[in-house]
Amino acid sequence: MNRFFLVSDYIISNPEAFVALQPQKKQEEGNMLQFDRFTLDNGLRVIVHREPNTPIVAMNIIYQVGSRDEDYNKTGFAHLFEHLMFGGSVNIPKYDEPLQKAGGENNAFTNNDFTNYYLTIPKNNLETAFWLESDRMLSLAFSKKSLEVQRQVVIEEFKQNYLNKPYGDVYLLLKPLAYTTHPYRWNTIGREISHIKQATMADVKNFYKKYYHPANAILCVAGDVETKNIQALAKKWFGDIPAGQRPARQYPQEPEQTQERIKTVERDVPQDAFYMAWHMPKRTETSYYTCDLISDILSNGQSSRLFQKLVKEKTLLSEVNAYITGDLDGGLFVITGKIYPETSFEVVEQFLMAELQKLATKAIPDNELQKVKNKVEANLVFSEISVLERAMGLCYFEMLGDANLFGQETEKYAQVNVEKIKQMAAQLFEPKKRNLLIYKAKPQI
Amino acid sequence: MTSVQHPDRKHQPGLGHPLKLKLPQVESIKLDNGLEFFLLPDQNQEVTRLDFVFNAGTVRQEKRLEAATVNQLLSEGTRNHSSMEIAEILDYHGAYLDRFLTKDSAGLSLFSLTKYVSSLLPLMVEMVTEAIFPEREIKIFVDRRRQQFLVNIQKVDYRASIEFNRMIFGAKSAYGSSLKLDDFDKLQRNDCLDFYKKHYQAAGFYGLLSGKIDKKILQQLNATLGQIHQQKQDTILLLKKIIDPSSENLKLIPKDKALQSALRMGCLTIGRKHADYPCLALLNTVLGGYFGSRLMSSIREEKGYTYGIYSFLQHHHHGGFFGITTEVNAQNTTTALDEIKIQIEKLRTEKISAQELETVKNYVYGSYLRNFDGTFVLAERFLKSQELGLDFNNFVQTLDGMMECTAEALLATAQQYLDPDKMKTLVVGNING
Repeated sequence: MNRFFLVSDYIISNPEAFVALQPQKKQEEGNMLQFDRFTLDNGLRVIVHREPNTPIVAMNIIYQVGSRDEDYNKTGFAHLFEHLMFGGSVNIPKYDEPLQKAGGENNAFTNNDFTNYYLTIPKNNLETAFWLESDRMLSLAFSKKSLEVQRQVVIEEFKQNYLNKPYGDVYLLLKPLAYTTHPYRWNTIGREISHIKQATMADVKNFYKKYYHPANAILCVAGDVETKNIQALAKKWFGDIPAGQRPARQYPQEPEQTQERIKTVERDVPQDAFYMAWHMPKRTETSYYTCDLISDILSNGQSSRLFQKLVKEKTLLSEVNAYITGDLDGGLFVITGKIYPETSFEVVEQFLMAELQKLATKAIPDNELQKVKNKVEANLVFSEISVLERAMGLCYFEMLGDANLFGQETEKYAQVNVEKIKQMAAQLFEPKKRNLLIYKAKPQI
Repeated sequence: MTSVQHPDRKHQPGLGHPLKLKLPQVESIKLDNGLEFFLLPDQNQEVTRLDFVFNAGTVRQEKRLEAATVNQLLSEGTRNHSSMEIAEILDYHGAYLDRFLTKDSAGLSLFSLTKYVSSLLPLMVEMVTEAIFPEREIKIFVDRRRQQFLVNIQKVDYRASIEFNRMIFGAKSAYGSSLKLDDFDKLQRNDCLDFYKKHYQAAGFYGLLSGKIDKKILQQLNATLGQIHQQKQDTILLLKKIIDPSSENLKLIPKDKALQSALRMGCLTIGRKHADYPCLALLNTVLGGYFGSRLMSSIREEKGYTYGIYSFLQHHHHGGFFGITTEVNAQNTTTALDEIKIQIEKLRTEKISAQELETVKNYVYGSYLRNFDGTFVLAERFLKSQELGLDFNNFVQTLDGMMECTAEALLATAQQYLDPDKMKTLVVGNING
């Protein structure tokens, strides 16, 4: 969920054109990303990564708060709050204007687990970034007007992405089906629009006080920079912000699922679709990597199993996808497909479950495992990349416990073997642990 | 360490002099048969991108969907490899195949770790010279595309893009022609074979190598693609008018129960080589080209009618247009349209302040630095400059021109090129709110 989206002009006027994922640039020799790390007296963790071959510097800040920290009756608040972070801080009436004046650009996103703010700026104007980010960590302006307007903007975002699009409400339905207890059962955008409408200034202030302070944040600067300069700038701008208490984050854990859950809805869409979800391990567990490779075996690339079987060979589905959500506290393994009008879910299900069964009972050929590992390796090279992506990655892994983990991903995937895949598949795809959303097309009159 | 330093938080730190935008020299080599390959080397990395670009955009097609199908089906079977075999080989090497298709051109792009490029090149050559377009693969592709289309057409923004394209360029013109549902039933295998023969096999094309470039790859290219028969010039005439706008200036497409309306406004405009283009580009940025723009400030940040609103300049080889795009709360549809006109009118009557001008110029400068940073990003820009028939350095000239543009020139540009009375307006959604 981004603060705003940028329209690609490629899409605007070429409806026949392909919208393809474009991997971007850059990779250094070897896989280890060099960085320095220090902590200010007030608890702010700072990471510095040097990349001399670019005029652009990236600054990324994670605040360790997400939609899972919300109250069940006040959902969507972490994301609304993210919008308010741009509504002026104690000394700076507008965030965007001075940044643009310095040739910079920013955006932000909120998910279940954390909130991420990022900007890129020409390297000789980097101090403006420190000025802006430190002021809003010091205090917000708490403008009433900003709350009223951003409330409206977020409601429009809710409509645009979740309500006014075919299949847009899938996650609003799937998450409360898959989670009964954990706060992952609601979406980052919120359970319903009324929650956004009811948010008060008191909520805003309490939330800020609890989560937006140095001890709950991780900052990374990446680009043509020297650590000692960044150290001086960090001390100068962030050093005098009062330390806060890092809030304890504890959540009711999801009980083990013992029975399949099925929900069927009917909507005004052109074809039936299905969404299957199983609970998977936490992000920091080694079996997370096994699950990720299983999802690649099933649907990454045209040679993947489900694509070949269901889209090409049997032509039952027009789309198929298997993916993991990657949530820190235990995400979902999701398989989804769009069904051709001539066929039915029951037929699809038979072939699909047979494929999953095969994974759980028959060892995957060595070269197929090597294939998905090669794909992961290339992916990591392609995605590790611009200074912005590196800054985001370093902050993310520091949040997981250690920024060094960023450089160890390939190794973790390499350790997955044939036996682990088989065991994990058997454990993961237990029929009684399945959550199934059947999304039916309303018959045309 | 002991004394707490309090920085001056009231004032923005001083700004540095703009860093100079420097574009690399693009080298070019000719293969034995005259095929041209451009090179954008960056030896600091272990990845390579290889593009082949053909004069095979939608403008060339006799039937809609032809260009897209052929472009996509290049990898769905060649004389020596089945669709599945091609997919296996690419996936095994962790490589991505991308296709792109615009009104003017079509391309096939390989993204790969440098160490595998040489093993994948023969497969790329086969796709360009020996694709066979199996009937079954065409059917699978067309069926999938039909379903995607049915989903997309329910989205107000997609519907608006299609309709607005028709309004701007003319529904019967080569540029304005847009997909319709029955197009999916009309395409035959023979259409694909003809299109492939004419626009891929027989016509000239060019290549671009970016990222890490191994000298061996160049030799390999010459030994394969360098030996095929090539016509240098693409002499095929277009059957239809390229641009033929209708007189229709307002179109309302009702969509009951829509929570938001998609709005489009715009008109044909001058090309990128025109002397006024840099000022127009800067004016577009002021109006709706960045987050701090007039439209975003007013319609999102002031009134909260939308999640986002943008204006843009979109150029193709034979012409381009100016447009505004947004999705707004259905209840505010007409108010939003009025507000857009007010904002345009302001630019036509009031000079922009020195402060806003400085902000927008600095923003633009930074965004150029960002958008020309890194070899694959540069490759994208280079392909675009080729499509538009521009020298690569034209981007720098445009940027220089934008930096020289004055408030007076912006006012005159707005009066000349942004006339709401000459713009076409489209609303898809719930018009009455």
